Amino acid sequence: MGSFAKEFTELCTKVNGYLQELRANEEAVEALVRIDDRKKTVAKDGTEYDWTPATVTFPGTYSFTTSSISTSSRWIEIVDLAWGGVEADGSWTFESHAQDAVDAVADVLSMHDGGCDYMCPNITAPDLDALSGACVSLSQASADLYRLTDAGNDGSGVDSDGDSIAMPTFVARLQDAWPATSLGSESFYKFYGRLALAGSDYSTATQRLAVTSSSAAGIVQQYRVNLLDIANAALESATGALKTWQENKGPVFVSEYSALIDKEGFKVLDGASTALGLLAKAPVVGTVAAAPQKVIKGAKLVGRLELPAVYEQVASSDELHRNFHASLDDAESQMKKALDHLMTSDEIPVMADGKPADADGDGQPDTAYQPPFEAYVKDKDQSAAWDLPDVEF
Amino acid sequence: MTTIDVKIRRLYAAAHDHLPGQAEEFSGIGSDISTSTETIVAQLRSTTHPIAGPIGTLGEELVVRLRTVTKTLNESAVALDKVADDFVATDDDAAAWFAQHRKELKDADYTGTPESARPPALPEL
Repeated sequence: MGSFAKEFTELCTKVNGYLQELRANEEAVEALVRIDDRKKTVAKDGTEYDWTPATVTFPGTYSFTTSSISTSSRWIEIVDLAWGGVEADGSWTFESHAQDAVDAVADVLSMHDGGCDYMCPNITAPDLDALSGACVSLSQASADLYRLTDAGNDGSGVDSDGDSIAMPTFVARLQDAWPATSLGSESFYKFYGRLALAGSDYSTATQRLAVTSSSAAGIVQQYRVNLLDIANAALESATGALKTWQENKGPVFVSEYSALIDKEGFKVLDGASTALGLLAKAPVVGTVAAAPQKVIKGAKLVGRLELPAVYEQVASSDELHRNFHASLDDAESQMKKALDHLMTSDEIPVMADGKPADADGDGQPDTAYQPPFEAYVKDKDQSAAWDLPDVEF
Repeated sequence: MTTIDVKIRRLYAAAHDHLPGQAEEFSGIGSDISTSTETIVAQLRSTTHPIAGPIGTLGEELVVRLRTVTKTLNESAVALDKVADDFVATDDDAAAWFAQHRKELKDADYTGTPESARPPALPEL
């Protein structure tokens, strides 16, 4: 398991542990309420249940001890129900013991170990260090191709039609040395003439490969930052609720919940604006190898954040748990949308002075059009424009 | 330096130094693109998104092109070496110059067949 996957899994396991503790508290209160209800009933034979006041300790990290519980609808005094009178050894036979009821709930819930290995594997699995290294290498390859086929760097020559072309100095100088008796000069210069043009195209294509790959890796990184934000928000919300249980010595009221939930933290990155935001950081084609690792390792979110459509107002551990998972699921589907955008959209950000332009002032980069990556690849795959002539001596 | 001197030096230098050097550079770039593409495709596949497909296609296409460039430069170096040898064999002035500079050419490693660069391997996708 990669280091991010390990970090994220540990965090989610922690969140689940607290959500479990919260749920145990909620179910324990229900159990105590049921005991309280039975306190008022009588058995079939008309005998009244006997009961004694009790104190219970809610177990867990945010443990507390109380002798009464105040729910949203009622106040109850915690009691142990007794039935059957005195045993031979002098003890009472309790039909229902408040502490046992509370502990039983916590025991049942703790049987689930709370492991979260299965969460968001699409986001946690890729090795970003390996991707970063490969993208740096592609960017360097593009710059090398540019240098090898650029007239400005290597001097210029003349092709077989007499047109000025970019070619290495040694090739240009070779023209004078070519023995008049030997064939091959024409096809050799034709090859170099085509190489200058095709090579520059290869450089551009390699750069597009580097930009697309580093943007894809950057998208994965963006959603990793987003996942950690979501999991930390869930952690803070769950511990905030548990602390309030501890302080209240009982349930958190619905009216208190909204203040405890970090709603902002559950927001998910929008796919399209994330893809555009990353492309705005992508390096342009040039002689110098760009630094794609900046795009890949960025910790600042570049897209819009929105709550998942199914997000609910939280009032219980179940809803908190559902919202947590809804955000994680949404992050996976939005990441797919971001990658879709990278692959099939013809939108790219407009740049001005090396920064994304925002002429309309809407806070989002202005966009222009280029052939989508998928269409670009189809166009270049086995393209005749990239063919080079054979050299025949 | 005489004209014949410049001519022959340029031919042999191109055949034994410059063209093999260029072939080596294009081959190295092709190898880098090949291994980078392999890594990127393998890692992006784990997102289960199809973007790894066109990335692999473009990377592979570029390597195919750079294999062609490498092979053509390899073949051109060998052919140009032959052009130089033929020139020495058929031109009196060239033959005289060659006889005089035989040791120098040997020391510069300009005799024999020029070394070929290994064409870059296609990415394993």
